[in-house]
Amino acid sequence: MVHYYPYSFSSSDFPKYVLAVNETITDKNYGAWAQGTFIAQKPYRHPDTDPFSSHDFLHIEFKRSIKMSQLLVDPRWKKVIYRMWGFRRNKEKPNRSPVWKLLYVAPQSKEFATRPIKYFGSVTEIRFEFNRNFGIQCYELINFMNGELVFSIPPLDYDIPKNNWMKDEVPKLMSNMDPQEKPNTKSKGKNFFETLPTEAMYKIFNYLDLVSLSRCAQVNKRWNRIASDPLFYRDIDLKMYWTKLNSTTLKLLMKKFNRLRKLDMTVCNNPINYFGLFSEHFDIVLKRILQKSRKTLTHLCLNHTRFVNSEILDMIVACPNLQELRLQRPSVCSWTVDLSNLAMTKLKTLDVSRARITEEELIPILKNNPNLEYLSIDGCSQLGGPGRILETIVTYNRNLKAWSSWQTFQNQDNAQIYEDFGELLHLEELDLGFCEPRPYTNTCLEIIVLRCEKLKRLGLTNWNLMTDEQLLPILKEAKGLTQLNLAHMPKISASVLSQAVTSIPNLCLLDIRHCVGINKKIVEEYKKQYPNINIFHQKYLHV
Amino acid sequence: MPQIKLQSSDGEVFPIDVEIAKMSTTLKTMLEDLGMEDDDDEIVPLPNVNAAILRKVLEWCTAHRHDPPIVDDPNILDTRTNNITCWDAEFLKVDQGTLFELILAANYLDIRGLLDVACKSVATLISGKTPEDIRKTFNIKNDFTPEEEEEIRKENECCAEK
Repeated sequence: MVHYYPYSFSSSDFPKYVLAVNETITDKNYGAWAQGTFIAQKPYRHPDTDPFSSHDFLHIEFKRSIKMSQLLVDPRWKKVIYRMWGFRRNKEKPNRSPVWKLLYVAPQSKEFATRPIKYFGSVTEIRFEFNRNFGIQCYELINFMNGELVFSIPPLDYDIPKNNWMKDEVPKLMSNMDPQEKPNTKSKGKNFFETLPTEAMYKIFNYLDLVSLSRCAQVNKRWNRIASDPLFYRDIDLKMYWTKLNSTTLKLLMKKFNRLRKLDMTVCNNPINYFGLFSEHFDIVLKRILQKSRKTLTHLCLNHTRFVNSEILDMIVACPNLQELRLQRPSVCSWTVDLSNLAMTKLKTLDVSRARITEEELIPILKNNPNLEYLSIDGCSQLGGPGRILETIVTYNRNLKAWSSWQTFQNQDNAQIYEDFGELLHLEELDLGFCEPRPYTNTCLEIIVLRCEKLKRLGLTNWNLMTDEQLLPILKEAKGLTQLNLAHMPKISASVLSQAVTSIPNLCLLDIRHCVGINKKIVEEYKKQYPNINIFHQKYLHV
Repeated sequence: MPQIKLQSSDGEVFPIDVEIAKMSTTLKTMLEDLGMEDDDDEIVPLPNVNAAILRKVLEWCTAHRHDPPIVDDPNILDTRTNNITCWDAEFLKVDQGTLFELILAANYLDIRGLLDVACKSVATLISGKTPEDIRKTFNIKNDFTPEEEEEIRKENECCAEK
């Protein structure tokens, strides 16, 4: 959907640009490493089963063919990028049938590194297909590419994906992957669905995605009746259709929502207006959906949407059964909620990363939801210090299992406040990236790792004043960790590395990127010695 | 190993292990309610299942006798169809008639695992097809009037292709 001009970046740099992406955003999540943690959202509905109806792809078209010599997919993205296709359109001979060439397929084996893709000739178009199971990371990738590349290139020229692409060429290439279908010789001419009882039809339709259901509804009257049943429309995940959704289709779909439980509209901004400010009336439709499903809604995800406004926020906080609310980076200018509507009491997951929420709005929500397990306030710059929030959590949300405040409290000057995390005995994940208290005076981290025995994931990105003496006693005690992020700590030396790999038995991910005090050769030795631990050091992506 | 005998609609008798018979909830309930577990000579008639299909069903049950019980996750609707095992995929490479009869038999005998996998298999045949393709594949008559069809097409444009 995005057309790039070759002069916007040199072709030799291009693969690096695309795939070594998103250092700042995904450093925190490590792509596929976030799976199984609180950060990763469980899909509301299993993704489409038909690989060819996938619309999670990024299509890049060059004005003239470019040649790429070698390309390596960053290990963090190896599962997220599902396939890569190269295409060469011969403009002189438009009648010649185009050839798509498969450049990359995600490795199925457990090997960590991906194999470099060697010479693949010249191409005019490249398509990345994303694995929808890793939805959120795909959007981080897309956002990054849009932000970093598109906005910098005048004149902007983008298009909606071409849907014919898969119909024309892919099935030929991938015919061996198509479901096997035997010709029905002896039973020719018979409609076997007529023999099935309705409950078996329901059972079959249960396995269909939204596209297939909408097609089934057009087959005949009986199929229409069954396929339009609101039962199939209780858990809705629209993010994979974000390129196609508009307010008309959303309205039509809404008619079938009767007992809506889960709704995911991540990045469902109208693609035509994706780079503009307005998504045509999605706010009005969403309001009607919320009105209709206020009592039944349990999960709502509106990450990266441009149509959330204060009225919608008011309606969201009035949903009494909401367990999961994800509102990453909504476009709403100011987070003003009429808290007299606040009816949420069952929240377990609250993710308001990069939302302009203030303490006055956050704290009543925390107080109202004693079962909160995951709170993400990454980059919420309007929150003052962590003090009052932590105080509230220690009093009201003692079951908290995961906290993330990446880049939130950058001017924190009181290390003692963090000792409060020690009160949260169920804490499993703690991300305090860029929240280093300066000066780091007392032993708050030691208290945390000693008291929070369940802690598995600790993120201390950019605690750049930390020294070996301060860090070593912490690592000694943090025996339960599996993922540890010490990136951007220029003062620490190789003894931290040695301590981490030896004293933390289940460590599988250690990030020491930009720790300039640690010698590359030593890291290589440790990598050989501890193959189970993925040590990220310096740049590990080579083009 | 105690056995019971099942009789198909066309009169063939299949002696099978009780353990395998109990994979069918229908048979399990019947055996337990009627206390027939120790009675080797009793023949259970299955008027809705013919010998060819019963043989297939028993083949599936024998292969899956050690499967763990199916536990539903109430939090997420299982709509995946890409988790059919190789054995099942091979087993279900049959003509449409047999596939649908297997669904009917699994439904009647209440064999959850077989019903699931057979329905998934039909779902994979449906998904990715246009309404017209579906009609062709399954010999379904279009009983809409052109006006109705147009209206329904508009209503269902939602996520479908354009």
